[in-house]
Amino acid sequence: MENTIKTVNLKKLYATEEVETTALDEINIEIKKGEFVAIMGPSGCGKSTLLNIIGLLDNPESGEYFFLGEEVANYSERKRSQLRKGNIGFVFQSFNLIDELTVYENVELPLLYLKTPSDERKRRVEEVLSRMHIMHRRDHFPQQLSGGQQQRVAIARAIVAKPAVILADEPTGNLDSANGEEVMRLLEELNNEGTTIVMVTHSPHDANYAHRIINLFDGKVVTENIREQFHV
Amino acid sequence: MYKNYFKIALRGFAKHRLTFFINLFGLALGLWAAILIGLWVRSELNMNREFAEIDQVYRIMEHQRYGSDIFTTTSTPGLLANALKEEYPEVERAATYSWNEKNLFVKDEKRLNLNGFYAGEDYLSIFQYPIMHGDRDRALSDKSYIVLTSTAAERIFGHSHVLGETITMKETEGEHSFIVQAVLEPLAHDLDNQFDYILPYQFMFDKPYNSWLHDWGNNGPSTVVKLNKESDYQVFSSNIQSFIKERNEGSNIVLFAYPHQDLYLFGRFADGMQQGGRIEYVKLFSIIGLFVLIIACINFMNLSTAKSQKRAKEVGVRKVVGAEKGALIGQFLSESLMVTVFAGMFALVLVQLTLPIFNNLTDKTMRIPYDEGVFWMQFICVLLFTGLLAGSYPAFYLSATKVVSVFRSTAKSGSAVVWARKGLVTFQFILATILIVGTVVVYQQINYALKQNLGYDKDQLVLIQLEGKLMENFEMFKNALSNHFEVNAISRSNHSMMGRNSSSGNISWEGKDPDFTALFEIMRVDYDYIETMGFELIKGTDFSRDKGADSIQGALINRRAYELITQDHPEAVSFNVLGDEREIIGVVENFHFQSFHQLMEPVILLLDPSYANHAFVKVNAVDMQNTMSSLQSTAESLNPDFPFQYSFMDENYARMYRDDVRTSELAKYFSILTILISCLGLLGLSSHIAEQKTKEIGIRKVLGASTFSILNVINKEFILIVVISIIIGSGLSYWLMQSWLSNFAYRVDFAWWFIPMAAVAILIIAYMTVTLQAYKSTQINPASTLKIE
Repeated sequence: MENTIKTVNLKKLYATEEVETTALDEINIEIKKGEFVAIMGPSGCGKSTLLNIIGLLDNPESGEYFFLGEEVANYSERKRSQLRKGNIGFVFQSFNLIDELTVYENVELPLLYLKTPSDERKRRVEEVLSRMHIMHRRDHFPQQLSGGQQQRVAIARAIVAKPAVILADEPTGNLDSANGEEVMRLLEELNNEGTTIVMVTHSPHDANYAHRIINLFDGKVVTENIREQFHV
Repeated sequence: MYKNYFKIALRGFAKHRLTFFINLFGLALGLWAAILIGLWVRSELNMNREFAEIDQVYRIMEHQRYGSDIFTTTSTPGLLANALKEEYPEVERAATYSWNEKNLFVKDEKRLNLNGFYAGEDYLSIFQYPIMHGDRDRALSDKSYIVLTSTAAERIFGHSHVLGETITMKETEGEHSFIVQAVLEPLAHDLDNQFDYILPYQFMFDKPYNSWLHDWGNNGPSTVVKLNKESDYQVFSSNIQSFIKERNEGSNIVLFAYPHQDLYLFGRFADGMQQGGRIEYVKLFSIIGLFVLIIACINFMNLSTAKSQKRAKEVGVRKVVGAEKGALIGQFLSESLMVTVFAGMFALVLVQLTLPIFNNLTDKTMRIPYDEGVFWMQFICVLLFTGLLAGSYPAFYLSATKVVSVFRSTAKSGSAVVWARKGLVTFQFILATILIVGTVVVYQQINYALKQNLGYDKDQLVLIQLEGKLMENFEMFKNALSNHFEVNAISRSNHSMMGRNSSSGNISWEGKDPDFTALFEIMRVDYDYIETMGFELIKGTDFSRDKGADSIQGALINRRAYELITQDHPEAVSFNVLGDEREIIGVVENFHFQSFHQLMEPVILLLDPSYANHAFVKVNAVDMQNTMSSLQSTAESLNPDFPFQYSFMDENYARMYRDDVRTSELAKYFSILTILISCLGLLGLSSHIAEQKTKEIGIRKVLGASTFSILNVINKEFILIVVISIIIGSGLSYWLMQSWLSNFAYRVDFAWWFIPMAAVAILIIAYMTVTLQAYKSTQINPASTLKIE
């Protein structure tokens, strides 16, 4: 199966005036199309940094990064942004919805930047809102929704442009267990339909939904477990 | 996409109401000031330029040399216009015209004092006033004709179809009837000469007492020419240089042509060179307008970047879902443009409401030209400039926010942006300091001028216009008034004491250096003049009826004239003025008859009241209303045909400073506005700083800090900035004000206390503004703030 994501000797440093910290060190991972991968590790181990690079939000210091077969490690912000558009959907722990926009408008946003025609936009937004069972809340503002509903809106926004990859950063971190469960089932469902999912999580329970778990420690990959093996 | 920007902006405004209103109000105030100043500048720049072919119209002016000084004037001989037209083929048209004066006109029962002047036949072809009725070329061709404005015609006749109608002018020497030969459309507001009538110059020229107009040695009226299209005015100007010298031997006059349309703005000459004029005010206020607008934009930038932490999340999310930098810049710029458009509309309403007051202040009749496309274009350009300037920094700063910061819980403002924000506040307060110190200095100087010892006592001194029987029977009038206890003294003169009136360089004395010339002001006065005016006699005696012949053949001079006459010949007792030998019977202390911009000039007082048209009456101030009404009834009983016209000398004197007083008034209002806008910015900024420091304040409170000490935490962020601004602003204002003061021949010193006074005022205002806002944050329960953190 072809690789959606492949990194070779990926390295990321954070430097302040006094100290230089190695956030990622010699990261070599491959994620295949249609895979569901969880990245785990203690706080500060570099999970989010890795997700940022995978999500084309940041560049590595050195090493190679292939996204959909393209070497993108040294892409400019502009090129990364173009590639990101429509190819990657993000789901965050804190939902990151725009407070001033309604549910409908938040979900519509990626399509606006993709310059999707308005009829098409309407159809697709309504489709994902229905799918996420949030259609009746379309004209509400994020603050008027429960955490679970907000995360469903965020997932709707992440998938509305039909991206190849969804990157989820602690997607259940701010949710109670029932809502968390629902979000995980939605991600699983999307994965079953063929979307590649990379999820950062602290929760072994959530990680159980993944095919594979990559464990990071101090910026290095320490173990990679196939889920079946994990359960054994 | 723009719909989305619009929506999010509107909802953002609704959510952050304080910031929005500070931005809106601040920008609106800035735009309001800019539009008012813009209208004024526009009106000044258009002044006298709206005539057809005005670029071919030139004033003929004179440089007169006196020793090392060159005096430049628009006064010319009364024969000049026709002579130029005859001599130079490039002169298409030429006209002489007089100064404006008020005359009494009578039509049936109606009696009106109208303001107008005398002008040569070509005048209306040179200045192409739109004509409602009549013929431009013939209107001033006969001395029995008169030209009226339609406004004047309506006042006299009740309508403007008055061609061929007759109207009578009453003068001291008799009545004259004139036939209305043309009616002008109402005068445009951008003409500095607003008049009711024009009479033919020939009528003035032929009056017996105006024989001086027939002499090349005398100056008085103005001369204007229209050159043909092909001619070069500079060549013409150099050709006419010695035109008067050729006709009047020994003349010190160099003639030159000057574009008429430039005279209003570039009318000041020094040492024979053009040196500014009203254009300096135009520049000054343009700069003030721009400053106020920039200060308002700075508020916008500061507040937008201060709330950038709140916007960073939105920027991050937008970038994550696919927004490119350009789209984000577009979003923030369209947001600032939107606020600017709201502010612009608000500002237009403010302008509309305050224009009458501003017109009053500037002595203009401006209106918002809603019907002119050019105005809207300019308005839109100003809005674009403001919106883009205000939005530029936030747009570029915010759109550059690293998207990874979305994943972190807090994003701190980088040191660059903090410095930029501090720099902007510093800039604002530097401007505010300059405006405050400037206003104080201007106010001091104007006050100094108005309250100075002028060498005469202008208080309770009434100037009465002598016309008709009042002029003929002045002695009777004087006797009648002498019986009133309210009248202390009365005399008359041909000189109004308001600027130069009649001067001559044709003064000589024994032992005088033949190369030395000086311009002496000549005042023809009556007995009791010294007492009435309150001059100080420092030598000799006053004119006296007891020594009638001596007085008539003698002269009083001022100290300056005495110094000049005795410089070569300390024992001088007489001098020659205009061909007559005069004995110096007394010397008075110097006095001002011009504004403080000029030095005190040498003056000769001659006892010759035959042409005196100004009576000066010194009254006591016990009951001014009663005094004035008894002056009026006495004047009207002796002179029933003419209305009683008077003015107070202190007010006349203040009028000489009209431009300066206006500058000081306007500067005062604009500096208040600047402070207000700057403080609005400070208010917004301090609320953001207080918000950012919520945790710090909470911790300090838990540790036992008092409200006052917490207020100081927030205040210290600003006080240093304000102090630095004051230091820089003071230095700059010292330099600027010294140069402004150098325009005055007599001026206040730049006193050191201006600066600490302004500094303390600004500091108190800044401290109070910040405290007002910060106090709220000190009252929050620390338990709640620390929990949030």
